[in-house]
Amino acid sequence: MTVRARLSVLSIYGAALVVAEFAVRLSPTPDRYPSPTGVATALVRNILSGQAPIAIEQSLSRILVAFVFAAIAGSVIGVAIGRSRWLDLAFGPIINALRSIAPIALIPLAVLWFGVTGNSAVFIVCYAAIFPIILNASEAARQVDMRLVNAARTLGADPRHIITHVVLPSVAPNTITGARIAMGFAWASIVAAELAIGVKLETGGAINAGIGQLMVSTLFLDRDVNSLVGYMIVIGLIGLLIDKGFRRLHRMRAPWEYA
Amino acid sequence: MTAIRIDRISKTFVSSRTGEQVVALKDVDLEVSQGEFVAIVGPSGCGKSTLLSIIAGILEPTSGAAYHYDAPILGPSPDRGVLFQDYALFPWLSVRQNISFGPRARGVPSSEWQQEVDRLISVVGLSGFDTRLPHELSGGMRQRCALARMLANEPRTWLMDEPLAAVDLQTRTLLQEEILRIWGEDQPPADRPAVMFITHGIDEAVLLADRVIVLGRRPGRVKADLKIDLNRPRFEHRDLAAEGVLVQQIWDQIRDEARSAILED
Repeated sequence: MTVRARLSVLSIYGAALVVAEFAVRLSPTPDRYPSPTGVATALVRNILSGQAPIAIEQSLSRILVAFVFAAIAGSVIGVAIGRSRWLDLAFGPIINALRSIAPIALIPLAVLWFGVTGNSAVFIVCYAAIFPIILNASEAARQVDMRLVNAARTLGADPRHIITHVVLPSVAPNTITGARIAMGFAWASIVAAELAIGVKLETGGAINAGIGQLMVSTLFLDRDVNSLVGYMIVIGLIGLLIDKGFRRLHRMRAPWEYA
Repeated sequence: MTAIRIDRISKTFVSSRTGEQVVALKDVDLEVSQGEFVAIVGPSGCGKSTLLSIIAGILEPTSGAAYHYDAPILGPSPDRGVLFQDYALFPWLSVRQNISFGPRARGVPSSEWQQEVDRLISVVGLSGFDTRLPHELSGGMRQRCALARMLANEPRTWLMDEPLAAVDLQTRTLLQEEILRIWGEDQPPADRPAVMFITHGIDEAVLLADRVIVLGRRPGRVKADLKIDLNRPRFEHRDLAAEGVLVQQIWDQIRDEARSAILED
C-alpha cells in the first residue's frame, strides 16, 4: 500500500471512531454502549490491574493443553483414515456426524463429567479443535503424490519408511492449515465454554478465571460494557497473532508452495 | 549376460468409470544385456511408460512376466533405479537429502554413504547447491539431482522415463553427454549398468543408444529393433550423416502411427 492509501484508510477509521464517540455520548443511555475512549481507558486499566493478563494466561494455558492433544490425536486419526480405506469406512461416518454437533452442545456433558472446572473448558476446546485437523490431515493423506511414493519405493523404502518419510512430510503443510483453522475454533469456543461454566467459579473466589469468565462477571456484576468490548478486542488481537504464527510455520514447512 | 528379460507381457487398463478396456501392451518380448544402452521410441499411446513401470516393479502386467538378472520382478528394487520425467524429487528435502534418500531408506549407516553422496554431488555438477531445495533449482539441475539420487543406490540397471523431455535444448545436449559419461561409455559392458531409456526424440535415441526399439500403438507392441553401430564416445565422433540415415529409417517406421496418434488426440 502506498503512503497515500494508508493515510486514507487511517482517516476513514479515525472518522468512524469520532462518529462512534459522539453517537454514544449523545445517546440517552450512554452506559449501555461502548465508546472508543471508554474502551481504551478500560483496556489500559484492566491490563495494568493484572486482571486481563491473568485471565488470558488462564485461557491460553487451557487452550494449549487442549490444542496439543487435538493436534496429536487429530493428525494420527487423520492420516490413519486417509491412508486406510478400511478405517475410513469404519470411522469416517462417525467422525463426520460428530463434526456437525456444535461444541457448545457438549457443555452439559462436559460439566457432568468434569464439573464446573477448567477441565470442562479444555474438553470443549479439544472437541472443537480436533475436527479441522482430522479433516485436513485425512484429505492430505488421501492426496499424497503417488509419483513421490513410487519414487521412494524404487529407492528401496519399505511401507513404514514411506509413511514416516513421504506421507507425513507431504501431509504436514495441510495439517498446519487445519491447525490454523482449529486454533480459530479453539479460541472461539474457549470463550463460549468459560462463559457457560464461568460464574460459579467466580463465586468460589479462585483466581483461575479465564477470559470468558472475566467477561461474564464484567457484564453481570460490573455492568461494564467498555471493559467487555475491550476484552473482545484483546481476544481478536491474540487470535490474529496466533494465526500469524501458524502462517509463518506453514511457510517454513512448505516454502515451495510460496515460490 | 541378460539384465532385463520381458516374456510375453500384456497390460490392459480398465477404466473404473466407464469399464472401457484399453490394451496398452500386447505380447511384448524384449531382452536387454548387461552394459547395453537401449532406447525405446514410439508414438504417444504406445505403452513405453507402461513397459518401464512394469520393469520398475511399480505396475503389474496383466499377463506375462519380467525378469531382472533371471529373478522375477515382483516389486520395486533399489537395484533397478528409475529416473522420472518430472524428477519426482521430494520438495521438502535438500539436494543432499534427496540424493541420500536411497541409502538412508535402506538403512545403510551414514559413514558408508557420506563420501559417495559428496562425490555424486560433484559428478552431477551440484557442488555448492547441496543445501538448496528442489524448487530453488532450474529444470536441468533438478534432473541432475534426480540422476544422482538414483545413482546413490548403485543400481545395476537404469530405467529412464523421458528424463530430458522437460528441459531446454542446450541443457538437454549437455545432460545427454553427461549421462553417457556417467554411464561409462568408454568402459567394457561388464563394468557398466544396463540402460532402458524412453524418449520420443528419435534423434536422441540414435545419439545415445546401442539399440533402438520401436513400439507401435493400439496395442503397444515391438515393431522394430535396430542396432546402432556408431562409434563411442558418441560426442567425440559425431557422424551426423549416419545419424540422419538411422533417424530417417526409424521415422519411416512410426510416421503413419504418429500421424494417427495426433489425429486421435
